[in-house]
Amino acid sequence: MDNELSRRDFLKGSAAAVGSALLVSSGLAAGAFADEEAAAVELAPSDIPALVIDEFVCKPGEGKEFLEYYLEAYAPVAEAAGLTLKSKLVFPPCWLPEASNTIQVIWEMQGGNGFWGVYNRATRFDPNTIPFWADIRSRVISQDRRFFANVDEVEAMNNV
Amino acid sequence: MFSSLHLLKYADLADAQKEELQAKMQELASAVNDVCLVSALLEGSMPAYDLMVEIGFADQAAYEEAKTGDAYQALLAAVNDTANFSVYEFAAYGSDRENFTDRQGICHRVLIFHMLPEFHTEELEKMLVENIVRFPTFVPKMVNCKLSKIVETSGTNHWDYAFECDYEEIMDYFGQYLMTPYHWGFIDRFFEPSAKEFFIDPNLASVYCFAPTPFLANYR
Repeated sequence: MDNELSRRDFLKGSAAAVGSALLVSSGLAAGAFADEEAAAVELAPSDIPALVIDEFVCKPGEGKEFLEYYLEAYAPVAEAAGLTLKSKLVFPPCWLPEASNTIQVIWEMQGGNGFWGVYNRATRFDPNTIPFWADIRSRVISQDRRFFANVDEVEAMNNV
Repeated sequence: MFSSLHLLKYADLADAQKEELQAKMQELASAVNDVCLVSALLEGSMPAYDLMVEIGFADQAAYEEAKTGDAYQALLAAVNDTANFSVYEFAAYGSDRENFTDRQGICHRVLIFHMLPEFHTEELEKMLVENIVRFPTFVPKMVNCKLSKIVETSGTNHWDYAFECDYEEIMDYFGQYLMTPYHWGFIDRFFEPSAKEFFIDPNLASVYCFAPTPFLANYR
């Protein structure tokens, strides 16, 4: 993609602002997880949504309780980080009193622009972030967060 | 190439004083070695330091020899002058992993970071080392990059690694490099406290500046 930004634009802008300006010029159709109407809107590569999936393997009998704790503690942080809650999934589809449930909490983020513009500032550089996730890990058997893309949009997303 | 990197934040000085100081630092660095880069850091560098002074040597032996000379000692005295600089980060490192091209570029960037011992494992470190130098595959506007273990360090953190890049244009740092999903969706897992691969201290320094030619191409 040709670089159409001036040095002045760059120097006065944040990463997000610069990213947005970069993306306006590329005009790729997208809308990874949007409905049909929204999918008709052209999105720039770094605005194409990504899914942020938190997966937890819970301690036996603690799945429901843990999910409530996590959502209460993390939802305000997620909102400030530009994440939108999309769904909460549990395996198996019943709360196990003496075995482990696996929980997936799925958030949506505005691709690279969302990551650098809001998410990164609201999470990584907050001194509470490392202890927060350490606390979360202490309450489950295992935890991970991964970013996913709609396979059909990977090419467009990478055309930055 | 072996690098001696000095990142500086000006003390409370007038703009004219800062310009004079940058010129003085250029003079001092050039006296140590012709291969040097003294350049104002651009907005968006984190933390908001002001000046990069990087001197390149053919190898560590050349650096060690230069260190004992008057020119290098004069440079050290200047960067440690707290009347002029309120923050001073230092790192010296070689060239452990490289991914170079023959293309030209005008933007030089350095990331120095510390590995958190409570999260560090040999496996995670190996994963980061092997994957971070693959950036040019996903960022064609990255001209060169190299990752190096830091052998001497001082400043606000114990710096473990330096990741250096040259880009075609200034904008390519904030553009293609940051926005590629390879960066925020994969490499940043090592820097992301919520990810399983997290082990890099968020207190890092990531700075970039104008460079007339690709700095990493020296001695190639």
